[in-house]
Amino acid sequence: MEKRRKKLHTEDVVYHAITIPIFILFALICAYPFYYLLIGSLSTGKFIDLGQVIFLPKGFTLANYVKVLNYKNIGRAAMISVTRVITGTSLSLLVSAYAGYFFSKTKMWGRKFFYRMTAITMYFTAGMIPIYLNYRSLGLLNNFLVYIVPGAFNVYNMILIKTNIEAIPAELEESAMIDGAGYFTRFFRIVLPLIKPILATTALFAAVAHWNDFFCSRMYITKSKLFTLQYLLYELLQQIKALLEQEGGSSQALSFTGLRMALTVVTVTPIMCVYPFIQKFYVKGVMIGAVKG
Amino acid sequence: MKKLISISLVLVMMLSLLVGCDFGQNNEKQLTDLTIYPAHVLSAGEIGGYQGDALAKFAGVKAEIWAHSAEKTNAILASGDLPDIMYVPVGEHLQTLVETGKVMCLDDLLDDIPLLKNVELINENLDYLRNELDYTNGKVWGIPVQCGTKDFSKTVINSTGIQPVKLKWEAYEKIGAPEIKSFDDLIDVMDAMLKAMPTDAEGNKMYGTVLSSKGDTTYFTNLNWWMTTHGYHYNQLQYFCELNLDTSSVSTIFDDNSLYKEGLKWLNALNRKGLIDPDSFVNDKSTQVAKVDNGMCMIPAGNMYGYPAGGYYEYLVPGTKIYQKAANYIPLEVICINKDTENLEGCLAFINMLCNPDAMFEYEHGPAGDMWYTAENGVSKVSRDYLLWRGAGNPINGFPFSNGTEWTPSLNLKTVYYSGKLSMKDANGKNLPTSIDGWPEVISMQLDDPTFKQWQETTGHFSWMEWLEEEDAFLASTPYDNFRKWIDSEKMPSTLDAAKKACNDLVIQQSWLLVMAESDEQFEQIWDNMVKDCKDAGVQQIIDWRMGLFTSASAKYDSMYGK
Repeated sequence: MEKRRKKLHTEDVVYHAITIPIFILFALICAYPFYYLLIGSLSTGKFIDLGQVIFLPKGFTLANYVKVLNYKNIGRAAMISVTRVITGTSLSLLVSAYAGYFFSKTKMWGRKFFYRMTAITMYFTAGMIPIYLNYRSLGLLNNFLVYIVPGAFNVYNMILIKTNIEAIPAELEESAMIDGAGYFTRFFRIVLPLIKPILATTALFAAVAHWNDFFCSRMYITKSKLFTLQYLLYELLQQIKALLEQEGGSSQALSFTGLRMALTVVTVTPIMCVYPFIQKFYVKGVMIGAVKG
Repeated sequence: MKKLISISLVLVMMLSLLVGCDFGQNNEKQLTDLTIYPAHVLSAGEIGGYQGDALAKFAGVKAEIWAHSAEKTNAILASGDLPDIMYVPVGEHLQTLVETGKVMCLDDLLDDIPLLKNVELINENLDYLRNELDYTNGKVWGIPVQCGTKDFSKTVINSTGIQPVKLKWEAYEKIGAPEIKSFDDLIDVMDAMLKAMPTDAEGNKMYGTVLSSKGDTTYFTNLNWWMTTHGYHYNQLQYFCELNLDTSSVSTIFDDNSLYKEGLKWLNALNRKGLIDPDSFVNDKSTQVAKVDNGMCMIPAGNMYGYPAGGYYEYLVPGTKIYQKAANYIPLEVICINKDTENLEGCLAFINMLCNPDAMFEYEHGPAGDMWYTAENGVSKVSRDYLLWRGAGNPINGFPFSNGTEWTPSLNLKTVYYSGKLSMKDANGKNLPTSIDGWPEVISMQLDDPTFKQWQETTGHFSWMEWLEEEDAFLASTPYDNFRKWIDSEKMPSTLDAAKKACNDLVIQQSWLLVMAESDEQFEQIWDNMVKDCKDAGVQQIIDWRMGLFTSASAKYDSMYGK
């Protein structure tokens, strides 16, 4: 069958002629910093600091990536980060989804009270010192669990999932209940498959949060074998900053510029590779949460 | 298929289990585990590599550095989860630790640090801690760091840091090395140098000087070098005062004849001649460092060192007065031991190691074989590999060791001594300095440098220090050092905080406008407006408070010790 071509009117042509360049420009503005990181990581540090790297690498070198791969504990830090993302996201999804399912049940005893007590934690926190003392008493310091246990229950994600579950027709669950299914069976077999889009959305939120976090390592971990990739990057950036702020600055800091960019590329690339695969769920999931019925 | 997948999963799990296992060498000597919390160390985690080996060899310890941050400090103080060893600034933090009983009194343990008595000026520093701080009650709660005198002999060039005027020597020689009789002359010389050398060998544009706004937090930092070149210190600029180190007196920067105003006029004159990098205001720190350290300016100003690698060498402009603190009698930081430590012996052994220049040299530069070695006749020398590395223009950072690691400053620890001397000797039987860049072979390399030889010929001096001493332009001490403890410990009244912040921001902003003024009239107008606006904002109270502190501290010192 021949494709029917839509006839473009003059107004359409004018509209496209104006909007397309503008969007291309915005897209370039958004994409350029990542491109700059890439070309900077492939350039000699001196040219980056002198602002001579603009569109193409200058003084092409792979030495920065060689240095990154040889940077202290980088392999182990990468493994920690990946393990954290996988286990943390899985646990967060499970806990938030089940809590959302709970709160969607209007017959739940004390539902309003528990829901409000949970939601109120979104607005304020106990502060750094009480949190540190709490983790210490729970034995979470210098423990991998500090990365995944405190963040397992995310209230915002729970609310998104709860809203989504409330949109599912009650009859589906009721029919399962008539057939003798309990809460767990209904949750895992009926509800979970229906809320895949929102699960993908919250998985993305949780994964990005776990991947980007360095604060936990900085505050609660002293053993280098538990440091994450992001914390290594943060430490490297602090070293450069300290060297530059010394009296007289320091040419020692300059050798880090390309290294810093290469390490940034290495830490950002994995999450950027994952995102396109779940983008369709992301948009759909956020919108489903907004529209009821 | 399912069987295959499950077998693969089991294998992966087994592999990850093996990777996670710690195959420690059970036949190694048992080392004490120590945790250390220093603000100056740039890297956290276990200290390994050649540094870890040195700790094991000289102190019998395995150390772990805790990452430092203000939040972490508050958290560990509140929780009581303190590390074994802490580097604590003398002041509020030390007071808190002493008053809450979290640190150990070291008076009875000083004999267990046998090398402590060898540290120069240690008794003076300990007496200060006992007698000058109210909260110590006459006891020692921490071992002071960096006690003693500074060794100026370690380099023949770049020995006084950012302070002096440094010239791009190649360009200076190109214009015939004219005598510079004043800072006004310097402007004309810089102009001529730039005309003679408008680009470098790679075609990069050269500048008279390169500034940056990114360091301007509480004051305009681009005049740091100007102040120190004239024998002043810039540490009072945030209080709108300038400190003359020769007389230890302060005056306000708002005076018409202040050094600060003179410096801005000088920068303005430079700017009007097109001698300042036009991107100065937007330069970030790394860009400024890159431009200066790659030899792209005629003089490195502001806060820049200007290394010889960039082609910069010192020049003594008449009026120069360089102050370099020669001795530390007063500690700014101490090493404390956690009262509840389970590793007291290890802590004392660690502190003992910090008193041992030989041990710390090996800690910082690796064992014999890579950077240095000791020949059969007992003479210690720099290795050929290191000389080749430095000769190629590389900084010490990144020097590759034979074990695959690189030299890095990120784990260097502050020692109890300031400079120290090694027990290792050179070919003349002299004790070697603790910095490898001060060893005779590296110095010879500097002396062999053709540009430095030209410098010696042109200036008629062997070294920068010799020039300074001949012209009586070097200050090794200042009365300010004697009474600064009574000034630095005073906190500004909180009622002045808002005025200080407002005036700091105003002065920084107006200083840039003054540098960029297009005429003398515009300069004076901006200056007058700045002074008026600051005075309206209440700056006089801040100046009076600060100057009052100097007057009373100086009088207190005179009454205690006589003039």
